[in-house]
Amino acid sequence: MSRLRQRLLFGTIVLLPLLLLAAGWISLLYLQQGGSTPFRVPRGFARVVTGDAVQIEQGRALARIGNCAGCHTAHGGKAYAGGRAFATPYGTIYSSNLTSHPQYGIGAWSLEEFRHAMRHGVSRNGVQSPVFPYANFARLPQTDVDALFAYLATVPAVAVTPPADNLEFPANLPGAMTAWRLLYYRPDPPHTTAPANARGAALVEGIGHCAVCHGTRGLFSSLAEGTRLDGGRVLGWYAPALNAQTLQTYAPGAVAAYLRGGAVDGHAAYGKMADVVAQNLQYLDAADADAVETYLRALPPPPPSRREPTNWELPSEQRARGDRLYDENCADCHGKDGRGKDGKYPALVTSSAITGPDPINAIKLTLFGAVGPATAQNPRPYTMPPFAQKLSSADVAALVSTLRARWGANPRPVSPGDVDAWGGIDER
Amino acid sequence: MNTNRYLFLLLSALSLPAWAEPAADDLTKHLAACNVCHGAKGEGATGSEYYPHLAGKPAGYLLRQLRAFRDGGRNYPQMGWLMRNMDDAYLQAIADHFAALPPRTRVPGAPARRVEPALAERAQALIEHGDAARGLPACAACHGADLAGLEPAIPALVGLPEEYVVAQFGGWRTGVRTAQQPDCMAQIARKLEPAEIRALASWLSAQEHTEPHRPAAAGSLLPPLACADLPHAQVQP
Repeated sequence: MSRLRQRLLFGTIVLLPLLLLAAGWISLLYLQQGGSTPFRVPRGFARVVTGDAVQIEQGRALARIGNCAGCHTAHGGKAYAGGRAFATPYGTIYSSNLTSHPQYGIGAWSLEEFRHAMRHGVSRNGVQSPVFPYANFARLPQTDVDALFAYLATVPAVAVTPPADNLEFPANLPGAMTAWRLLYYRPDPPHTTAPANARGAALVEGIGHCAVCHGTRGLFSSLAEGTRLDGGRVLGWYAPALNAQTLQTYAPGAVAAYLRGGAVDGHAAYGKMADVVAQNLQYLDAADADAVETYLRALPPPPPSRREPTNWELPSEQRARGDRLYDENCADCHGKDGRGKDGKYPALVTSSAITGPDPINAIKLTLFGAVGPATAQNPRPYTMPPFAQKLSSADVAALVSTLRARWGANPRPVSPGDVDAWGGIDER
Repeated sequence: MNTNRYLFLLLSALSLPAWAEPAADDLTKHLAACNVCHGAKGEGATGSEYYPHLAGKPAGYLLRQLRAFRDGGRNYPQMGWLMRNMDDAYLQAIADHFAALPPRTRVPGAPARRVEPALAERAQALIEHGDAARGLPACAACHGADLAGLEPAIPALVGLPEEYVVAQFGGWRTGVRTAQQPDCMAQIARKLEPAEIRALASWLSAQEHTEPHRPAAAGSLLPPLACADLPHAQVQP
C-alpha cells in the first residue's frame, strides 16, 4: 500500500466523521437560532410613514418605558443620535443613531426592515451585538413595533456617526456576532410567568428588557435561556436577583412605588437603577407598576447552589474597626440597628447592597455617596454624602465587610484591593 | 421720578429670591452630601485648598453651575455623580437654599492667609483696572466693587480657595469648563498669563466673604463684556 493511499484511508476513517459531526452540530445551532430567516434582511420595500398622531403617541410612550433614548443618546449629545459608550467585558460598544436622518440614522429604513431588526437583531448593518436587547424586543406585539417606528420617524434628524466599536478578542474576529448568535441566541424562550399577568410579562420581558441587567450572564456574556432574573454584575454595578424571595422585604405595593420613583421607608433607587427610574420607570402608570410588581413577586427563586458554602471569618480587629466606623459615620442616619430612620434614611438590614451576594454596590455608595432620582413621587430626595475623602480603602473594606457580616449571609470579606478595583465612579 | 420708582420695585423683585428666608421645607437635612465639601452652612471646607463656598452666591449663578455639572459643561465626577438624576426643579431649590444663606467663608477667628506684597499688587491692579491693552476688563467691573458678585448670575470671587481658582482658569483655557456662548471667562482666561492667574488666586483666597457683602442688585452695574445671556454694556473694547 502506498503512503498516499494510507493517508487517504486515515482521512476517511478518522477525519470525515469528525467533520460530519461538526457540520451537523453547526447545522443544529443554525436551526436553533432561527434558521435562515434572521439573515434575510428585507430590502427594497418602500418607506411609508403614516404620521398617525395616536400611533406616534403610543410609540413615544413605549420608547420612554423602554428607555430607547437612554442607550441611544450620548451624555450631552442630541437625543437618539447614538454614541453612548458601553464598556463590556469584550470592549467598548457605541449605540447607534436612531434619528430620522436617512444617511446617519434610520430615516431610510422601511417598516419591514425595522420590524426585522427589532425581531431578529439583524439589519443592513449586519448582525447586532447582544447589547441591543432584541431577545426582549422579539416579544413585542407587531402593533407596538410599528408604533415605535412611527415615533422614531418624528425624531429630528442628526447628522452624526457614532464612534466605531472598539472590540477585543474574540469579539473583534470577523463573524463573532454571528457565532455568538449560533451559540447563545434562542428565539422565543419559554415564559416563567402565569399567563394571568400578561401585562406584567409584556413589560418585564418585552419593552422593559429587565433581563439585560438583572439576568445572570454566562460565558461570553450570554444570557440564560428563558426569562429568569437571577441577578448579575453589569457596567460596574450589581443588579440584584428579582423573585419572590428577594422581594419579600418589600411591603405589598412597595415595589411598584419604588419603580415609580417613590422613596419607600427611605429606600429609593441608587446607582444604575436610579438612572433607569429617572429616565423611564417613573413614568409607568400605577396599573403598569402594579403589574410589574405582581410579575416579579411570582418569579421563583433560583435553585440552591450545589457548592459547599465557605465558612468565612471576618478577623476580629476588622470587625472592631468596621463597628467603630459605622457608629462614627453611618449610625446617625441609618440607625444603630441599621433599620433606617424616620422613613427618610434607608434601612441597611434589608438592602440588597448589604444582604446580596455582591459587595460592589455598597463599596461604590460608601465612596461616592448616593442620591435617589428626583421624581414627582420624591421631588427632593435625601442625599448620602461621599466618604472617599474621609475613609481609606482599608476603612471602606472593614466597614462594608462588617455590615455584610452583621446583616448578610456569611459573605466573603471585602479586601482593600477589592475597594480599589471596584470603587471607580461612573462618568458619563 | 416715576420711572426710577418702578425700576427700584422691579430690581427689588428680581433680587428677592436670594434674600428670602429659607423655605418652610428646609433643605439642610436633604443635603448631607453637599455639606461634606461645602460645609454645613455653605462656607466651604475650612482649610481646604479646593472646595468653594456656596453661601450667599446668586441663585442664578448656582443653578447654572449645578446644571453644568449634570449636563457636562463642568466636569467634576463627584458632582456629576450626585447630580445626574436631579431635575431642574430640585436644582433650583438647592440653588435658592445656598443663595439664601449668609455669606461665610471661614470659621470665625481663623487667621487670614498672608499674601506676598508683589503678588497682591499685581492681583489688585487686574481687579481694579484690568488691562485695556489686552482687552482685559477689571474683575470688579463685572463681579462688583467688593467682588461679592452681581445678581442674578455673577458669583462672588473673594474667599475662593487658591487651587480652586487656578483649576477653573485651567479649565477655561483648555475647554474642560464651558458655559453658554459668549463664554466670557474662557476669553479672559486665555488672555491671562499663568503668573497672573496665580497672583489672583492667591490674593482672592486670602479675602473673606462675609456679611454684609451680598451680591450687588441686578442692574446696579452693567458689565462691559458679553457673557452668556446676561445684560452687558453695548461697547466694543
